Amino acid sequence: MSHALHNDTLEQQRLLAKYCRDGVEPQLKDVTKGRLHNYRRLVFGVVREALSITYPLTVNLLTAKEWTVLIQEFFESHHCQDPQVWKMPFELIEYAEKNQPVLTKKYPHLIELLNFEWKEVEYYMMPDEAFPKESTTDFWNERWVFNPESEILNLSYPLHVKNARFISITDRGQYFCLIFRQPKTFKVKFLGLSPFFAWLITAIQNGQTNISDLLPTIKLQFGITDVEQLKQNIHPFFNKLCADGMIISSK
Amino acid sequence: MSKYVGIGYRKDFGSAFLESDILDPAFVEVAPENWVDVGGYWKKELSKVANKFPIYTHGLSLSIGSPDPIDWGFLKRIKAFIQEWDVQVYSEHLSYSKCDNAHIYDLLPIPFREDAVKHISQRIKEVQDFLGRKLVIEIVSYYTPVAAEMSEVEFINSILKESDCELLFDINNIYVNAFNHNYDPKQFIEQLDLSSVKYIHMAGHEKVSDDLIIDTHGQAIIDPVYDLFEHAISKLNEPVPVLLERDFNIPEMEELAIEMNRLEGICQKQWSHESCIA
Repeated sequence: MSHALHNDTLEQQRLLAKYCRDGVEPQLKDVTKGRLHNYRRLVFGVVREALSITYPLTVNLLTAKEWTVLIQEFFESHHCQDPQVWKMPFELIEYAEKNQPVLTKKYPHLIELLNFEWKEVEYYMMPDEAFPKESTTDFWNERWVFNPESEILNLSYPLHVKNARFISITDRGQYFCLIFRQPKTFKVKFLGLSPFFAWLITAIQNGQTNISDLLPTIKLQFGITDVEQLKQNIHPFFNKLCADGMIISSK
Repeated sequence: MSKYVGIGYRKDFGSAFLESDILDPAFVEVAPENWVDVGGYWKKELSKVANKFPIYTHGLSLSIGSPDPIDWGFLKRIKAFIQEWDVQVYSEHLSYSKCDNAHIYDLLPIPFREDAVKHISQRIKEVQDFLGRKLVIEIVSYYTPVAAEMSEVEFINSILKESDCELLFDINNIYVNAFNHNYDPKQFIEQLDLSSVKYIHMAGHEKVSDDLIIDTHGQAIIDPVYDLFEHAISKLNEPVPVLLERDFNIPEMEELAIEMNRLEGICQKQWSHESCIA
């Protein structure tokens, strides 16, 4: 802090900023009567808009009162760190996880839902990754070259296929969802994956290998011995990933 | 054809802005906070915009008037953005938007005090040294003074003098402040150090009660603000770029074009003997 700023000036600035965060009217010097509330209103309007745009499914899941209380308490007690307001909503996730036990008990999928919604924003806005120059033609004998702007989400709730309002603890399980930014349209795409295809993509990525070489492991882990049937099952999936821009293909 | 007047580029414009010739700005202004570290569709759009128009920036989060330390990591990213996009002007607000290690995401009024002048001037000098360019500081609108010990114009002039920064002459903000705090905007302009003016902003506002205007940038510019603009630029020694800001209730491009043309006409009338700025 600069030595130039006197304690009283500092205190006046702190009081105003605190008021914008908590809405409790402070004793500030020489303010015009009836005007201060505009700052709280405008500031909280910015925060509410940024959070509501980022988390429409969560807004829909919670009651209006729950949502308002959540974001009021977040903005009051959490010290928002990101200077870019569109990134600020990411900070709500950790805050809610650590500080909202009642909500997370009532909605066991709340934190996962917030993460799920944030992922869409993150992927839409993320800096461009360098795409590999090579591509895949032969789905069986070549290593699949993946879009680097992608990831497999390992979910405990079926957020990608079911309205969050109708999800309950009984839906708890293991679900896989592929998220990626399409290179031509820049749209973010979610694609549900079976455990086998989630494993296959991960194995190809991690092992830098191809399906042909993975056959012994596939037989061992999944008990699949009919290779022709396997080819018939994988080929349409490969074609879809190529068409969607998840696999970089020369086809 | 525009020579002086630019437009604040909004994502709401979409591709229509680039695909039509309805708007022909001398430059476009963006808030770097909305574009730093952004890829994908919007980076591609910004590239197209930057290929067609010079880019000016108007920052939101520097918080030059904050008691908190300057966020040098953030400023480093701003500097990289300025270099990447060959930004002509980097302007910011004479306000604070972070305190007690928490971002507020809006512009709060600084106490008009001598210690604040020294504090802010020192910070502006540090930022200018870091960026290797002068900071252009905007007179912000405010709805109440807080703990003021000097006049607003004394406060601004003192900072301009001590920091050697440049001034973003926001005519709408001067109009709004004069209305809200019951002073004469022309007298305010007379007292302001106009030799520092580098850039002008023009915008609309919303009168919410008999004695209060909120600076929304969501309406068309009203006639008295055009009149004040004409008066203000007659006091300048040389032409400067002029921006039309429209952040909300974005109208059809044709309506924005009408506003830009009116501003351009006033500029041409005043500065037609001068060289163009963009």
